[in-house]
Amino acid sequence: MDKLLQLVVAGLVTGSIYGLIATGYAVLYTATGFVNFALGAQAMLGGYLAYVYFPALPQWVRIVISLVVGAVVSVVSWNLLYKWAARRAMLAAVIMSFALAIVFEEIIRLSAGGLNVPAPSPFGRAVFQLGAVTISAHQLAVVVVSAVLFTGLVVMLGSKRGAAVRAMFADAETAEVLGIRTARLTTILFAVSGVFAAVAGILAAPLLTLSPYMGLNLALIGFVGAILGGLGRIGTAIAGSILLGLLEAFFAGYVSADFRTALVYAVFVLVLVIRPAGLLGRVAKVKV
Amino acid sequence: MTLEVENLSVGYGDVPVVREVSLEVAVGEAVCLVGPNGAGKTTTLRGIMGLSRPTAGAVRWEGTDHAGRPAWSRAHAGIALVPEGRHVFGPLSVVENLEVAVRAVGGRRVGARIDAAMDRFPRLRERRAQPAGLLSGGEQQMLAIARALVQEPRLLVIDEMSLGLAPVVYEQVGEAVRGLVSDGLGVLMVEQNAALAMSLCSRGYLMSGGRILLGGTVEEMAHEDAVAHLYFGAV
Repeated sequence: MDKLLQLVVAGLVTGSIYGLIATGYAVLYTATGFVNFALGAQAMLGGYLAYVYFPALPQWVRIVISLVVGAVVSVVSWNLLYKWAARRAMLAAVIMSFALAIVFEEIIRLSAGGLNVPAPSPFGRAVFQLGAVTISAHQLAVVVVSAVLFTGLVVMLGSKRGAAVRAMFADAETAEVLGIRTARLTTILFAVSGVFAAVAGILAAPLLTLSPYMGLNLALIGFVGAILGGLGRIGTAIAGSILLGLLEAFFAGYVSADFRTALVYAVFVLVLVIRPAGLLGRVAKVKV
Repeated sequence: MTLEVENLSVGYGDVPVVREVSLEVAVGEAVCLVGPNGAGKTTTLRGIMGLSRPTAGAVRWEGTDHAGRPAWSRAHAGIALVPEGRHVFGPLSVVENLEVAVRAVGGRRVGARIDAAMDRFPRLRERRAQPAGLLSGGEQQMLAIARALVQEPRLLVIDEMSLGLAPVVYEQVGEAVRGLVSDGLGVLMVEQNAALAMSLCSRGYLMSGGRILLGGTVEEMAHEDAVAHLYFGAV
């Protein structure tokens, strides 16, 4: 029982981080039909900005820089690169996002080195004992910060102002002709996905240590989480990611810690074969 | 205040579909654009509304040429569209569909406008909290028209209203359109069903093969051989 609870905590922590990436996928996919595989590299970039670069600045300033750059990188890459490729062929834009991820990876490797860098948690080293369950301040922060962001996004989308975004999700062309500035809303959503990715990187780094190559794994696992829940809906993509985190933790705890990554991709393949729309989702309409 | 479309050409890629179309709609009149399937009516309308970028020509409305502007600028300038196939926002409730339309053009008095639209189409009031995707075809058409009207446009553009609509519902919706025109609204109607369109409009244009063949009052058009020829074969 104690082990179970401990694994639930571990699963919620990793699942929340996957969820931050998965939210980015879901938001961008629903708005544009585009799948941004650079989100993982953007998370990695966010981690390096918060922990490695600018060592002289106070921690909170570096976190702010990381979030701002996260938003800017996301918005600029859409408006300067992906958008133009997507007009011809969405697949070209998706492949381009892989290429951009490699560019980010190399920039970081050349400027900060290819070795793993430990990242100290901005939330300190405190450890709490809740009954039989041990939870670190950082783990607690991961769950709380993610929960706040997920709730904030869902509440925003559900609000009266958010209805314009939901209208765009449902039918972008009609939304535009009714006077909704869809290009501007899409830019805002890219900024949101960039901030979420940066937060994922900042939260993941103290757990994983930083490496230029951590991005690809985050990108793919976040994608599996989003697919598990259904890419076309934000709430289910988050739920799918948390489910994936729990599955991974249970598998690592009860079966084999060495094969936990293999499990993630096995889940991916199974979902794509059995229910491509996601376990929780409906069939998402592809809109370009 | 007049919509003046001048020598508008619209194509997909390098293929021109609509060539040098010119037409006018003044506020307070209903004008129809008729023609057989594939004549280029919908493409013309997409060009006017900015959903397809025109290769040449002007779309002048209240002194501004909107041809090169993004689609959303028309709605802000007082042109509202009822798209072909309704295109209501399915996951949004009936009320949300209307609210979103008012807010999109920065409209005030959201509640009052929605009330007025629901007075016009009482069915929508009964269904106000339902997702629009669950409405019947006729109700969706009413919602699509209400969604355009709550924007308080000066020009209403309606694409293929009769498509998939029961005659009774069409009559009801047509009655609403007549009332709007007498209230001073301009209406541009694109219709495959020429007889229905001409019963609602005072002037019309006939399109075929991507060009305007002729224009005039509906009485004049009714006597044109070309109209009869296109619709009913050789006379």
